[in-house]
Amino acid sequence: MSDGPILAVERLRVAYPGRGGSIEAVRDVSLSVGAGECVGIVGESGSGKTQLCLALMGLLPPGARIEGAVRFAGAPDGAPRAVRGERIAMVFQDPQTALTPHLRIGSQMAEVLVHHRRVPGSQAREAARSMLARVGIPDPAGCLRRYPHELSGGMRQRVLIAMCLLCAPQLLIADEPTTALDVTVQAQVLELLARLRREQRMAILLVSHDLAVVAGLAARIVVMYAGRVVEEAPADALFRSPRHPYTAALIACAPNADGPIPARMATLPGQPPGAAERFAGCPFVARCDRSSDRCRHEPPAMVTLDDGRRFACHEPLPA
Amino acid sequence: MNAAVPPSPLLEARALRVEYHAARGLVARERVIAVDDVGFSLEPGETLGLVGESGSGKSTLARAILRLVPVAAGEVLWRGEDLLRWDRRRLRERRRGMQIVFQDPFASLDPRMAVVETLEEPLRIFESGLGRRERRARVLRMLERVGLGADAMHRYPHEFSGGQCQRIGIARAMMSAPELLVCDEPVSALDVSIQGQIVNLLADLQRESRIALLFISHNLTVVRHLSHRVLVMYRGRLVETATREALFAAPRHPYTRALLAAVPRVPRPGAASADPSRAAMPLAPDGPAGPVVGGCAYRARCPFAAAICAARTPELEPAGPDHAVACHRREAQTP
Ligand SMILES: Nc1ncnc2c1ncn2[C@@H]1O[C@H](COP(=O)(O)OP(=O)(O)OP(=O)(O)O)[C@@H](O)[C@H]1O
Ligand SMILES: Nc1ncnc2c1ncn2[C@@H]1O[C@H](COP(=O)(O)OP(=O)(O)OP(=O)(O)O)[C@@H](O)[C@H]1O
Ligand code: SF4
Ligand code: SF4
Ligand SMILES: [Mg+2]
Ligand SMILES: [Mg+2]
Repeated sequence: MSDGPILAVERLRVAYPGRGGSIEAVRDVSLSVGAGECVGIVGESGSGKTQLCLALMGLLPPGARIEGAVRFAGAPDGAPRAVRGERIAMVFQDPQTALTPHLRIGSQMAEVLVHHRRVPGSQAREAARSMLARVGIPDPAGCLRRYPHELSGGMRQRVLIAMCLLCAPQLLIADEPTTALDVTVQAQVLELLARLRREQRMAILLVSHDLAVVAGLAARIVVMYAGRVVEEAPADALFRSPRHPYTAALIACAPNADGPIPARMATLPGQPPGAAERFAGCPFVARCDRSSDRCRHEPPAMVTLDDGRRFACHEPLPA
Repeated sequence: MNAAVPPSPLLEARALRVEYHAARGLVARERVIAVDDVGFSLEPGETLGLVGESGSGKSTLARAILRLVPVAAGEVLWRGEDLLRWDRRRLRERRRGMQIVFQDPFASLDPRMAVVETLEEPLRIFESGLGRRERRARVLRMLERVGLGADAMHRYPHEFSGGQCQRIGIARAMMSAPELLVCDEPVSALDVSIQGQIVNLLADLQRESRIALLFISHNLTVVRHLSHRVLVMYRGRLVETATREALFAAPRHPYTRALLAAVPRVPRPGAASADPSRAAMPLAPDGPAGPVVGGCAYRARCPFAAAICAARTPELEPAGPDHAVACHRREAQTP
């Protein structure tokens, strides 16, 4: 595809000082994304997905301790944030806090272009308007005049997506980008992202709890649990035959859109270890139905197979 | 809305209308009708699903029935009393019974309050007789029910993930044992296991205490699981209301049909092809350039649109038992 990945993350750790020892938000994550590729990240709530994204953007709060390496082909490690800002864009999980409250949408969007691309103001506004239309905002000209609090949750989310796409980034990091969209608009936005990926070779790192959304857009999926990658596989292989017990449980919990409605929704009993917890063996051991004594004491090493799959488990499910 | 409404529901909205005055020019304001002529009722122990286009007025409707935004016209009856006429004191007393989990979990928690303070607050206000130990014990029990542990108690909102904040919001709302719980996208930031846990918890609470739920979500799979009846909104108006069974088996409004057709599917292990979802994603046709005035708001996207659709706004009309549709051409939409 290209000479190498556009993004390479190696052994990334993010920790915060806490009351009784450090809080490990990201414990050990390595992954890569190629140009024009979409990689999905799924995993339990609190497993470090957002912290990982913020680390990639260089946007972690001051108290954070970071270890490991992040390489971005378009900008060397440690490049000023402005360089990254132009080539990497992120759709935040909480659009509310990502928009400036007292500025109209039009000014905020135009500013991105004027600032990064030195596009004249009137042209920037027109570009903003047409991008809003592409993400399905019904009255884009009217939307430009609004303040963020005057928009619905899903409209704010689309404004953020449009704002990110304006600069034609090489890498789009999208953290739960479609949670506030109805499924018809969601389909439209996903289709737009897929097109930009194909036509402009925009790489996408897509974080979502919606397995169906990830399955629809990502060619490769990374599964996170307790701050670590526990499995990675091509999307079709992952759904067809998950190897890590957590991945299998996650897929089993996804409710069916059709068919009979069960009395209770499927869940995974127990809780993941907290970010402040230390564990000697496998983080999933307390909830795993395949666990053995070994799992309690020995952390499972990551096994990488020829077909690009990898997983960290002592007793993986059969292929 | 329909003839079968029993004498006194817990909550009833009649011909509700909510307007905003949004920024237009430097000082000019433009009137936005966010909710227009919406009526529904909710029984104790019932779950009403509310789905619809993004920006169609779902959050606004939820806020309006709790008096968190001003209502321009219509009535909201709480056990038969118009709550829009309650004075401040009355409202404060009754608030306990009606709680909301907001769509944006980050913005709705007080950043200066540790989780334990946030969760104890309703107990301090509504059950001031409780001792400190009992309060703590209840907070702990609730945290466990939403899948968070004791170590969450002394941390602050910014130290939590999106899904964790959302669960704190749910726990806070439930601390005061409400009769009505409005949930605005309560599960969208949760992984499927915790999503299932929260949905089961809501169902348990409903069984234990006949709590009524207004459940707003874009996740139609969850709405289908949890709701007894479902309302569908488009551009501020109800376009279809039905029992869950009727809505999912025989949707009548073209928008409802488009919505159900667009639900992406999770590929299942063992299934032959990996990705049926991608093929099933239809592109939503572009909406009109400006706000729609008069007529059916869906007509620019509707494959059935006819002349009458631009001329008159369709009203909700019966389309079966406990089923109503606002479409001039509903006869063309036979299930
Ligand atoms: N500023 C902070 N200080 C301390 N701990 C933090 C901080 N920010 C996040 N955490 C912790 O780091 C862990 C990972 O959080 P993160 O937001 O990355 O999760 P996530 O995978 O994005 O979850 P979700 O799916 O719920 O959004 C969580 O346990 C969270 O409580
Ligand atoms: N404070 C406000 N001032 C002006 N207009 C507003 C305000 N709040 C909401 N609106 C407008 O009212 C309409 C309905 O918004 P609402 O938030 O109720 O939609 P929603 O159905 O909850 O959408 P979503 O699914 O995206 O959350 C939108 O067009 C929005 O732009
Ligand atoms: S290492 Fe052991 S406990 Fe961990 S997932 Fe594999 S089988 Fe389960
Ligand atoms: S009233 Fe007309 S435009 Fe509206 S949904 Fe029915 S057929 Fe379509
Ligand atoms: Mg997150
Ligand atoms: Mg909303």
